[in-house]
Order: sequence, then C-alpha cells, then structure tokens
Amino acid sequence: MMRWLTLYARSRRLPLAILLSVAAVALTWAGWGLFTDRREINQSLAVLTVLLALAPLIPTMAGDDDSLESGVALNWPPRRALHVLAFAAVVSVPLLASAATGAWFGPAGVLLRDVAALAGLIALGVALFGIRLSWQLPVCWTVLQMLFGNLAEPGWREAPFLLFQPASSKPAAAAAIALIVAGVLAYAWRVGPRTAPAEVAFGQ
Amino acid sequence: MRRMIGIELRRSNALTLVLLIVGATVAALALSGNDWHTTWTRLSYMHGSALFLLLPLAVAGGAVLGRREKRTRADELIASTGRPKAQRLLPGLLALGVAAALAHGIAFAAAGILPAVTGSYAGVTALLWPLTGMVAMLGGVWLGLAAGRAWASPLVPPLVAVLALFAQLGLSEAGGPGGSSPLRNLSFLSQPPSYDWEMIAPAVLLGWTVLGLGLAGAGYLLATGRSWMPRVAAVAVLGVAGTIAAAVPGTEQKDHFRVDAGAQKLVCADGAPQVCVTAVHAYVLDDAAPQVRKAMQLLAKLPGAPTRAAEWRADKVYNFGDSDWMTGGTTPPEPGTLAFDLVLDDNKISDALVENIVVGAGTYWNGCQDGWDTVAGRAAGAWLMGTDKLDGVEDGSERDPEAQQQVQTVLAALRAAPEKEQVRRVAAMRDAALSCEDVDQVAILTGKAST
Repeated sequence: MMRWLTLYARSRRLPLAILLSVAAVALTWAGWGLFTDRREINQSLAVLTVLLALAPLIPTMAGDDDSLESGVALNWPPRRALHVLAFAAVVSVPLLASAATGAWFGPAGVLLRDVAALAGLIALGVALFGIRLSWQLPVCWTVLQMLFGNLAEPGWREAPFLLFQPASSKPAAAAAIALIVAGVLAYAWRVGPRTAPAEVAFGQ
Repeated sequence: MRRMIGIELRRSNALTLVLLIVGATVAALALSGNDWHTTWTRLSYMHGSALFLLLPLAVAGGAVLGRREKRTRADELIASTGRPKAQRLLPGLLALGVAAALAHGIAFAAAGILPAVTGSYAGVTALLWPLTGMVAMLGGVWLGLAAGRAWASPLVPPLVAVLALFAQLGLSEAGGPGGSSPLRNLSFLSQPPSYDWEMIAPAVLLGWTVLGLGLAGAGYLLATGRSWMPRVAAVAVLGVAGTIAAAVPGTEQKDHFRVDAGAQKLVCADGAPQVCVTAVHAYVLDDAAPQVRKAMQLLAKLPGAPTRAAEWRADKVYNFGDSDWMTGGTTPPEPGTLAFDLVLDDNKISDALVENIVVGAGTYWNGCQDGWDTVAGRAAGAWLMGTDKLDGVEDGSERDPEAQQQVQTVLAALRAAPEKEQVRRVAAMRDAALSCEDVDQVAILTGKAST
C-alpha cells in the first residue's frame, strides 16, 4: 500500500504541487503580516490565495499516460474522488490554521466554502476539458466575481457570485456544495479527454 | 515569413487564446452594467480595466506555447536546426502576440458600435486607450512565452496566470486603502473617472505604453536569449520601463484624468426657453428638455427667475477625499442661467428630474464650497411643487426622520405667511444660496431672519 502511494504521488507530481500550494498560502500570510497592521486579510487577496493554492492541483489530476493507467486493474473512481478531496483538505489546513496567527484569512466557513467551490470547479473542468484547459474557467470566474461581486442581489443571484458572499449566505453555500459534489463525481467517472497517442509517445 | 506566421496561427493555441480573451471581455462588459453603452470614456475605461484579467490570460497563453517544444520532446531536434534562436522563435512570438493584441482591439471596436449608434461624443484620448492595452497584451504573451520555455511544467500556465493577478492586485492596493502610491500605476486596474467628461491624461497612456513595451522587450530577451547577457538586459529593461511607468503619470486622481473641454461643450435643444446639456450627455437631451422646462416654469413663480438652463459642469477633476468639494460642484452658474444635474442612472434621466431641479429653488448646483442647506432646500422645493414632500431627491436626508420633520415645520411656517411674503422669502433664500455666503436659509424661509 505504502509503495503504491509513493508511486502514485510521484506519477501525479504531487510533492511539488503540495509544496507550491503551501508556499502560496505562506507567501500571502507572511506578506500581509509584514506590510500591514490589520489582522484580517483583504477578501480579494484571500480568495486569490485560495486560487493560487489550488492552481497546483490541476496538473496533478492526470498522469503522463492515461491509457496505460486505465489498463491497471484498480478501482479508480474512489481513488480519483479521494485525490480531489485530499488535495482540498491539504490546502484548507494552512488557510484555517491562520486563525491562530497575526494574519487571518477569514472565517472558517467562508474559507471551506471557497476551497470547495473552486476545487469542484477545477475537477469539473478537468473531467470535461482536460488539465490543459481546465484552469481557464476558475481563473476567469474568480476574477469576474472579484470585480463585480458587489452586484449580486440577495436571493439565488448570490450563487453565481458565491466567493464574495458572507458566511451566512445559503445560496452561496448550496452552490459550493453542488460544485464540489458535481466536480468529484464527474472526475471520478471520467479522468478527462484522452491525450492523442502521438503526443503520449513523446512523453512528459 | 507571412506563411510561417499563418502556420503558427493554426498550429499554436492562438485560437483558444483569442476565444478566451473575447469571452472574458464580453463577460466583463456584460457584468459591469450599462454605463458604457453610451459614452466612449466609460467604454474605454471598462475595456481598459478588463486588462486586469486579460493580461494574466495573455501571460498564461504565452506560457502554453512556450511549453510546446519541451512538452513534445522536440526541443533537441529543433535546436539542431541551423538557425539563430531569435529567428526560430519569431513566427510563434508574432503569431500569438499579434493575435492576442488584435483580439483586444477588435473587442473594443465591436463594443464601440453601441456608443457609436447613440452618436455620443468621442474624444481622441478615449480611443487611444485600447491601443496601450494592445501593447500590454503583446508584452504579456511574450513574457509568458519566456516563462513557459524556462520551466515546461503543466503547472506553469495556471500558476503564472494567478501570479499575474496577484501582482496586479498587490500593486493596485499599494499605499493602503485610501492612500496613493506610484506603484498603483503599474496595475491596469485604475480608478474610474468620476464624471463622464473626465478623460484619461496622456501621461497615463504614455506610462502604460512604456510598461507594455517593457514587458514585451523583457519577454523577447528572456525567450530568445541564450546567455546571461540578454537575461540581465531583460531585467534592466523591465526595471527601467517599470520605473518610468510608475513615476510619469503621478499619483493623484487629478493627475490621471483631465477635464475634456470638447466633452463639456453645450448642446442645446430647439425651442424656448433654451435648455442645454454637455456633449457627452447629448443622448438624453430630448428626454430631459421637457422636464427641465417644466421645472423652469415652476421656478418662474419667483421674481428674477432664470431664463436659460444649462447642465452643471465641473471645472476640475474630482479628487477622492477632496474636503472642499460638496455636491454643489465647483463652477458657479452664470447669472440668469439655471444649473442642473441630469441625475443619470443606467443612461436614463431620473423620474424625479423636476424635483431634483426645483429643490433649493434651483440653487443646488450653485458652485459654493459649503454646499447647500438640506432642510431649507427641500422646503423651498416642496413649496414650489405645491406638495408636502419632495420625493426622489438623493441627498441623504430621506432616511433622516429628524430632517424630514424639520422640513415640515419650515414648510408650515412658510405657508402661514401671506402669499406675497411667501414668494419674497423663497426668492430671498434663493439669492442667499447663490451668493455663497453663510446665512441661515431656514431662518429666511420661516421669517425669523432680521432682513
């Protein structure tokens, strides 16, 4: 089991990805601590930090050769679902831990909602478009919410602008849950479009 | 060369990037409200601010192309061709860079159809703004391409995109909230103009152009350089360009924008009495003129009423946090001319335009630094309208029950006086408001003033 995990982590380039995720959170956290005296981190910056921490997740969601892996007699769907959830959990830990320090990323509920929504969106994108295109939707939608989040009217319209809603917003929480569930299920069911065999031959 | 660029356009991720840029621009414009439908300044601003998102996308798009050689393990094969690296990379650099820049420019031209059909005033500077953005897009693509060539991991495109966002957000927050810093000039998320006649200053456009050229130069040197010399040169180019771009435009809002005399030129409606609005707001003139004339008719109850109405204009740029700037503006109206504000919302004049003009007996835009007296102004307006309350005037007192109560008291005291005395008092209050002197206008209306 241990050996399988090691091989899996290496084939998915996980060590580097996790290192970068944690470094991203540490960068914002240390920068905020150094340059300001306020404790609570600017909400836009906090959301961008969540995005920056989740960006390394994207390339870990496919190996170098999908057709080779699919030939292995393993029960892949639960493993893939676990991959997304575990990565989201790893990203959440340093974000939540900031509550005990001098620079705070915001309430736990908001952070978990944002991580769930973005991780779900990434997983959904990977299942539908593959790892090379899946970063585009999360990046664009996060920035558009950042610029126009104040336009959200109360009610169901809070759902599309979920990242910038208060913790009490039910539509935002529901949208985040829907995104993570849909993302995990879609990615468990399908790893994404196959890379062209000619390109796999070149290898990573 | 043209054939090679054509091949690169089809082979590379140019089409994806163009679609992404156009899609993001459309989404940003659609979400940002209707302000830009009618004025070129607002369209330029919205379209230029979209660079906050588009530049990271361009950087990421360049990184995707930069990864190509190593991703396909063709780098050694390609390196063995007998051509200098710069020459080898140029078709790809040009194809993707020009595609991204043109996508940005064409998006502006397409969106510009809307303000063009309303026949709104177009200043040259507002049309130059997108050109600086096109240079920046080219620079972003080339810098991203250098990043992708340096490190060909699948992690690079999303990471550089978010890092570019991070950098811009950090730069635009430099100096703390409400503060100012030259570093803010390096972010494309600029402060919006306060009024439609405020045009971006040429120095700001120059700064962004230099910044875009710096990004492009550094990207080209980093992508094509083979030794440490061009790499050092790239850092130097970026440093110099960044310093110029930060220092040249200045830090205050009044440095970034200037009042465009052409946009403020008055356009008048046919018929009498004369009603004029600024050229940028000419599109509402037909809707506004009957309302303004109705308000002037009400004001004619008073002796010495204005015979002409002109939209209020500012003579300087609104600087955030100006303490001497009240809503009364900075330009006193000419004698005999009524100054009014169109109270535009969603490109339409307010339903309560008449109320907004007669409030304060037509003196709300008096150009006095002390602004106005809310209670006396509302009482005089309600008296002119012949009502007890003035609805639809946004001066903050609507949610202040105490002020509302005071208005009723003043109105009752005013109406208790004989007819002629009422007219005299309101006219005296109007003259006091126009004179900019600190007199108790409420006392004039209630008859407690010594005069």
